[in-house]
Amino acid sequence: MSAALIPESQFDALPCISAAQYVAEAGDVEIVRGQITRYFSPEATGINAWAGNVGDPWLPGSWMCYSNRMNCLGCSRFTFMLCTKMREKSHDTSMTILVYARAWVAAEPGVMVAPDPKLWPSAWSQVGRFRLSISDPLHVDPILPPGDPNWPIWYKSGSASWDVGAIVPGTSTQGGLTGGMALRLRAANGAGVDKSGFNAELYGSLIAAS
Amino acid sequence: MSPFTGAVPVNQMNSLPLLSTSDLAFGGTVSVIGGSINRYFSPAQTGINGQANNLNTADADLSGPGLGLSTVSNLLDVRGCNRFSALVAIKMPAADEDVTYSLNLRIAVPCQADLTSGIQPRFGTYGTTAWPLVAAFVIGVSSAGAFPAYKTGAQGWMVGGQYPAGTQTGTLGFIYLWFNFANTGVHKDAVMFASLYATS
Repeated sequence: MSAALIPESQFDALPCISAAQYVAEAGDVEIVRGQITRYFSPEATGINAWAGNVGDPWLPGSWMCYSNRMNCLGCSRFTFMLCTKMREKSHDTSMTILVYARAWVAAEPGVMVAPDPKLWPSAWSQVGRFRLSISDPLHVDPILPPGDPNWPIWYKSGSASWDVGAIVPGTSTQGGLTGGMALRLRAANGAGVDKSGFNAELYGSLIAAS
Repeated sequence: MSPFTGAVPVNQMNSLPLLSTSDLAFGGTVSVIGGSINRYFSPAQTGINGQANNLNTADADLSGPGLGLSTVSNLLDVRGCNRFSALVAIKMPAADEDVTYSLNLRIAVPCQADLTSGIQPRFGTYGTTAWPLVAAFVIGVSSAGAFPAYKTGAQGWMVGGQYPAGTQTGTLGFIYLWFNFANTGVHKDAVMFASLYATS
């Protein structure tokens, strides 16, 4: 059955916006009834079994991670899906994770400037917010101590959606970018999710649509 | 038989004479992907292209608030598009120019009247409908270790969206971009680059 999937090689051959300057992940591109959709798997986003051990130098006690650069041409609506994989009970903490979007910016011909790692309202526009609570205690086996190899692998997950130009819920800012962009995740409750204590794995995927 | 999905082959779409690029405006790099039109305007096309002292041009009226330094783009053809992302890079020659930058981005359109040419929006003064505010940039002190260095920002908006201050944003057709700095600490030796994504 045809899914109208455009072969990646053909897609890259289109006279798009000089993607060569971006060296971006294009995602799995599909066109259904004239609407373009792109899916970026955890492999494509680069948030793939990412262990939260990278401290945020601009917010001591917290952590952050970046996605790959993603080619979202033609898309202005997004849903980001986040999954954490907990290997032991101590990983099952309550956490608030903020999602920011940013673009690489053209300067002189041939120069693409990376976003500053510092967080500024327009340098990294907030687009989403995750609140992942402690798992249902009825499903926690209290017998197994943290680190026990028999501890079952658990997941917690959530999703956030935004439109380019829409007001981000809970903020007073317009969110989202069209074109090429990268995502940044940051733990908002730094004290509760510090970089040494959060060793669960993160997986992030993105669906973008026109 | 495969179900019909209505998808037009992309190569065929791209061969259609969709938009005739105006002689008056920059059309950007246009691509059609799955029926969605995309335009990219590089700094060379916006005209905000790192020319020396390009931050204090085209602003004859300094009487209004925050108009000390500003720059205006070329006329841009954004027909077919209603969602936008403006990207800015500011190159600072020296460390003492690395202050917090507050930029407001306004847009305007030339309007038709009884003259042969469009009525241009007046530079130097603005109002909520003459130059609607579509985005604001706040770019703090960077983490640059050596100069010259860049700092960057990006903001998105859509036609009919709302700026947090309460005004509706965006417009269809042809637009100018006007960046002006709300703070006075920006040195005129800094140069600015602006690019724009527009999509349907």
